[in-house]
Amino acid sequence: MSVRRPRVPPLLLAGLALGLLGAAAPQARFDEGVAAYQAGDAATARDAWREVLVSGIEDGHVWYDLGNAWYRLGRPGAALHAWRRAEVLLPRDPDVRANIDRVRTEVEDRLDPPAVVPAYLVWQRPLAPRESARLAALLAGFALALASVLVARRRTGRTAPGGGWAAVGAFGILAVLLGLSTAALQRTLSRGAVAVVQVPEVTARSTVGGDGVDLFVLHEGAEAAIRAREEGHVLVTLPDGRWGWLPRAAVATLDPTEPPPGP
Amino acid sequence: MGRTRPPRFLGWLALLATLLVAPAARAGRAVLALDTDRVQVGQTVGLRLEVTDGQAGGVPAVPVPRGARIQYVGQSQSTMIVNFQTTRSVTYQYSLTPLEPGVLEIGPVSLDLATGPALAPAVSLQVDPPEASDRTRAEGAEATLGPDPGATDLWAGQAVVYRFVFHHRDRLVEARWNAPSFEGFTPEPTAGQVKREYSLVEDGQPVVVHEILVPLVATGEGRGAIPPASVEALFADTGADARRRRRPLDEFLDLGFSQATRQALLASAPVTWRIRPLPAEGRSEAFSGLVGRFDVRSEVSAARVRAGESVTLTVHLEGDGSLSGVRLPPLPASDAFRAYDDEPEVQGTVEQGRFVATASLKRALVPLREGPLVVPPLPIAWFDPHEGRYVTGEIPGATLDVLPGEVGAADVVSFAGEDRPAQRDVEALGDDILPVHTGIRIADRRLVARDPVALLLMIPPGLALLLQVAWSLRGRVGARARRHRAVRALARRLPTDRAARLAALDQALREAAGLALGVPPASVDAARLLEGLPSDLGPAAAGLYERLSGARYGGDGGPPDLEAQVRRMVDRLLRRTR
Repeated sequence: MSVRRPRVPPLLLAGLALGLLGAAAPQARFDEGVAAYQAGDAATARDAWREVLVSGIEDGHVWYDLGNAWYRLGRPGAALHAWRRAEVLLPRDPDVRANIDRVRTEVEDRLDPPAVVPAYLVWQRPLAPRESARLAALLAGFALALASVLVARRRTGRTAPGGGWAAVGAFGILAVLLGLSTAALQRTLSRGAVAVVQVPEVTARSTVGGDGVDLFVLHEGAEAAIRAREEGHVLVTLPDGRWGWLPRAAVATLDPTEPPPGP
Repeated sequence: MGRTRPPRFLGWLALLATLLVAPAARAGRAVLALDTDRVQVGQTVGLRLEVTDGQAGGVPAVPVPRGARIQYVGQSQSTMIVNFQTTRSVTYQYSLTPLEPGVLEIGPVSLDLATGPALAPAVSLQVDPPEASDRTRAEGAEATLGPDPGATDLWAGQAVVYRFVFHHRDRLVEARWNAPSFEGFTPEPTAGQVKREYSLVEDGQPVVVHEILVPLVATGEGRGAIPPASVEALFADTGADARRRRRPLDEFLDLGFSQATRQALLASAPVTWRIRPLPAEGRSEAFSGLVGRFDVRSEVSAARVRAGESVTLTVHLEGDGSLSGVRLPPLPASDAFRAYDDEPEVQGTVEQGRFVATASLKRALVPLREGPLVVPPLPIAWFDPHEGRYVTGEIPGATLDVLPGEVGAADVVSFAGEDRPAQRDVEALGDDILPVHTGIRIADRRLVARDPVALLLMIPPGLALLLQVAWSLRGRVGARARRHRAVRALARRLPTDRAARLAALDQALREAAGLALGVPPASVDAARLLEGLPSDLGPAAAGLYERLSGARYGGDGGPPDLEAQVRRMVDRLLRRTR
């Protein structure tokens, strides 16, 4: 007896192969970075991991490793920025937390770091945005599945279990609230509301133009909340209420669309 | 084989023996202590004479100078058992009221105890003129800084005590201290914050005083200020208004649930300081980094030792400066002995408002050959902030008589005659970041609008629900259509018997009208048709119903086209319900 094999269109096969190749290249670069780092070549590792991130792979582990490379290269500001980007994607990773705490002790300015996730979204802190969205989808899916079972029982004349529709409502409301909260978190993150100083020293001025005065000096690795952006500058505020304009090139933000800073 | 337990009374007997015999075996001690070391003229302060392991015959007399009045208040006893050693203390309490400003020396007190003579050293009390304090108010707070209150001209590295004091006359229910930021200082690592509470009597009224003492080390430079500290206090409100607000039942029960309270914020003034760097002039190589006034003494565990065995040289440092991180100066290299230093034991405390530190530094000395061994004295220098200059002290040397022994046989792993574990804390050589993540399958983990996993979680159950709803709706529509067909068939396929034909027509009309009105067919009548159906259909349907009833029960047979009229009406009614 002959079995007829299903025919797969050649174009589909080609697409799959290209997709696999496309996914394999960043993985290979990541692994090259790991090998270089372990061989003591932090600069090569940094370049490899930057390439992976620039190629569109937004992975917390890559950001974390990039932070380590920057640290080894004596750039605590860039390392802190990378680890804080990793913290958004890996909020429960103890290594990320430990390295952030470690490098903050080396930063010259004593400032309370601004939180990425605002206080009114505190329940989002242990969840990455994608995890939060998937949890909302899971809750919604569960509510839909439960509603489907209840409709089926009603159609076949059987009575619905007590509290069934209340459970559907509860899961539905939770799903909607978590979805809205995730959207708010994503919006906050996309504003990149935290700046990390990347240069050894930068002076905050009272205006963007040349007629302002020097207000205070921040050093590499200092973290400040961004309140506004204008003409290549960002307006940052310190925890004690002081504010000042910094050149945009002197800081890196936590905006998820911002590429990693260069050497 | 089971063990036999000793009778229980033996344990009690041993405890009783310990209680009775142990105190008599040790010599008694006596200590004088004041509630505070600074008061104003006319204020009354508590004085305690604590006698440990002994009993005085009667109330001991405490000698005070002429400028003070003392009165015996009472006594209390306490017994403690620690490591099967019983300690019994008797505390005699006095109230002391200074009448003149100055420094009062109280004591010493000589006691003739049953276990032998004991001497309580004298204590001193600073008495300020009456206007020097702010305690005339019901409550208030003040802060001072320095080795002595008010001495805020400091040297870098000097140990000081920040003293925050607040007092009140009303009963304190709750208090929360808001510590200021100590810019220019770091906390002294060997001593913690001390809190004290004592009472004074002023103008015949008791005043409760709370002291918070924070030992600090000056690390800044230049001039600055410690911002105000404050206490958020909740007092029992004993005013007339508060008493009036209390209900009679509250007074009767006095449970305290409805106690009137008032809040108060007691804040101190900022404390300014000036910290000068240590001068380079006069600094010798022996300068150890210590800032303060210190006493040095030393002792050797044995004057005679065999070659290869060790003796311990213990150096005691005591003073009013920080001893954190202190080390013994190295001995000059010698082939006559080897030396091994132990970790210093440093303790700090606040006594009588001043910082006091003690350090015990141990050095094991291992002679390598017999004969007299002279351990040279070592210079140790510190900066005395009270005199503003460097002072060089000396760690006394020692001469050991070294007997013949096996050279090199004794490796020093512990100090002889000391019950100390040989283990030590693992020393940290450095600190680093955590390693990179390896072996990770990387992927784009950003949040996208069409996340396939999220869609997969929602779409199948969503589709299942849609299908269930559609199926349910389809079932309802199908049932209605089947009923329509049945009614139409009933109106068309009539029996041949006349009565049966009329009955079938009546049933068909009722069924169709029931569907149109949404009521059971049996409840349909002319009045309901007239009221329930629209005006273009109701009167005609009611009339037809009447004619059909007349034909069925009146026996007149009705109009000739009655069947056709009924079929048309059934069609019209069913069209209404579609």
